[in-house]
Amino acid sequence: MIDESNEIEPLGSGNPPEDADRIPTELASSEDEAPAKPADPAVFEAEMNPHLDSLYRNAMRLTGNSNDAEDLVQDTYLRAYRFFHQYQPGTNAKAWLFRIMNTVFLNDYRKKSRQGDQLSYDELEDFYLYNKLSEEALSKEQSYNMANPEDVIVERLGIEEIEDAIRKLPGEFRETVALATMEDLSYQEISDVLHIPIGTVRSRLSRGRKLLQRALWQVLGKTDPDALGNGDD
Amino acid sequence: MAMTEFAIQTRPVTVLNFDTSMANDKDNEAISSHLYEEAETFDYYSCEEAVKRLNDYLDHELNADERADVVKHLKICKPCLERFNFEQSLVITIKTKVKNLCAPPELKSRLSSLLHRP
Ligand SMILES: [Zn+2]
Repeated sequence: MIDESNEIEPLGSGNPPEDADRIPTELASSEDEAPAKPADPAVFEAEMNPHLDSLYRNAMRLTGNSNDAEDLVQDTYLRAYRFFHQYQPGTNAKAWLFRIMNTVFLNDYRKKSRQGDQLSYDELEDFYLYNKLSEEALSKEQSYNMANPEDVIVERLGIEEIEDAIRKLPGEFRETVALATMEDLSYQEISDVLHIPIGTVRSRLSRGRKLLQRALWQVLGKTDPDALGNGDD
Repeated sequence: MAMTEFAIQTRPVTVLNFDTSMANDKDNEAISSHLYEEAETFDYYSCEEAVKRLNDYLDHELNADERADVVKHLKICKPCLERFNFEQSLVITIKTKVKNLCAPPELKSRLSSLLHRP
């Protein structure tokens, strides 16, 4: 007997991995809940293809290289197609896709992925980048034509620098920061995608954005001896 | 910098030395949707109160009243205003620039053929 109301698959049997609590249960295991009749490809594409670039970017951030990223997008896309009947029209398709990608990634890719560089967690100051850029401007005695920190980042931050900096973040911060900052997901949607409470979304964002600012300062070619140690001025 | 322009400048130092305890995952696990039920106690002169709401402000997670509270502080505190504006530009810059990275066309056509295969 199949209970049609039950859209949540149990996690596969066997011993749970050490952090099984982080692995979401739906869409996690075998194929047997896919409908006998596949979805209309045209309908699926119309709904999902606008988000392919976002999916690819997210896959790049998760895997760190374009080969794995392409594979991850493909696995995610095909899984989404198979489970398209579970998608609720009118909800955020991008968040739905990200949730599937996160599940696929945790199940199949995580072991292969590299960790971000270790960054110090203590002494995370607010407005780090603003403060650094302001200090820099002052030290250059450009008092009359002082570079506005906002102009500096618009000019000097390219896509390479941004992606480099994001890659330096530890995984859990990287995801949360990226989804909120780059992909316009609401905190509730991020909570759904990553299966973490909203309070955790907030605390990771708070810490993650501070880490991101340090990393941005680093990739902008600034070597700050305090950046990885104590930032106490 | 020009902090003297504003008469009401109670404690500019707190802008830079804000308590980071908020950033502790464990402490916040239990807190759910709204951190700020006590909005009526919002201290408009407190930089700390405003900075605590920075991310929610940037990400449009504040309701109208909560947002008005923050804006009220920004109107009387130029250092916070400058910093909030900077953070907003940073987010917008990042958002705009990363959009230039797209999925490779070959990947898109491969996905299409996989979907339409007999
Ligand atoms: Zn202030």
